[in-house]
Amino acid sequence: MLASRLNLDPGETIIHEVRRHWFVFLTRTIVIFFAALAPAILYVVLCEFLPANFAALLQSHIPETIFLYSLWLLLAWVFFFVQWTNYYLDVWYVTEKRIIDVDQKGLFHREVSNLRFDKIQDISVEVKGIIPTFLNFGDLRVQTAAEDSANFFMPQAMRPDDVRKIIFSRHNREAEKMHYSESGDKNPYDKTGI
Amino acid sequence: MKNSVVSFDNPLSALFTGLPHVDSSVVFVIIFLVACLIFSTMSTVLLYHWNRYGMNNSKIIFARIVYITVSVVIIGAAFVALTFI
Repeated sequence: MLASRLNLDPGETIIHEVRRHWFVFLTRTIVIFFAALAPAILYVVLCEFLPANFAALLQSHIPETIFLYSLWLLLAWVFFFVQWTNYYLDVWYVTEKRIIDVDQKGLFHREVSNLRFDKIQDISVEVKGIIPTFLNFGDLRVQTAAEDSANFFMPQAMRPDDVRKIIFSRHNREAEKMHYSESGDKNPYDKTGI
Repeated sequence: MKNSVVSFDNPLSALFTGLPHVDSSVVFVIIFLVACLIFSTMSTVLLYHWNRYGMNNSKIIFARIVYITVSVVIIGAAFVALTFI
């Protein structure tokens, strides 16, 4: 199923998945959480500070209040999962041969790009700030050799240095394979089939 | 069954002067049905995305279970509140 969804070549497997750090999504979660709590806080505040007849009006319609608040919670819940879906489906799949960039820009906007390792020119990592430094996440940019190709960019990626090492090692293997195939020398990677 | 929105002790009753008499419980039922329709549509979209693009990994499966369970609880609470309106 995985191979068919990503159009992997026969024998090609995913060796690493790169996603944004969970802290990025946590900040959005906190905002949604407080938005979900806001009506309840507002209700308590209104009952406390409104004139007696308004407060009594509110307190005499508890089923209506619970009903409307349940619908508000449902809305917040669905919105939370829409955000989570956009976060979780935005991923890089690193295989033995290439990087597959799945860019989930919205529920109905998805972009999939492929980048072979032999086309990589440079990989840069930027970790900026106290929290990214301690939690080890940062921006990952892969520059391609083609002039008109857009760079692959993953903001706030988890463990970007580890990802860079994996991609560079694969890139170097591909470069050596090309060197051996051109020079006619024996390829030490022939035995492994990689 | 509770009284309609228009009542003499309701400070907002002036806003509804001249409007046809509508039972508030019917209004809430309509709101509930519309909310269920919207929720069903969004859930279908989310489940489609998880099935098609989620690769069936453990986190997607867990998310699916949590989403459906909590949604059922919230809708159940809204329905129970509706029966008391």
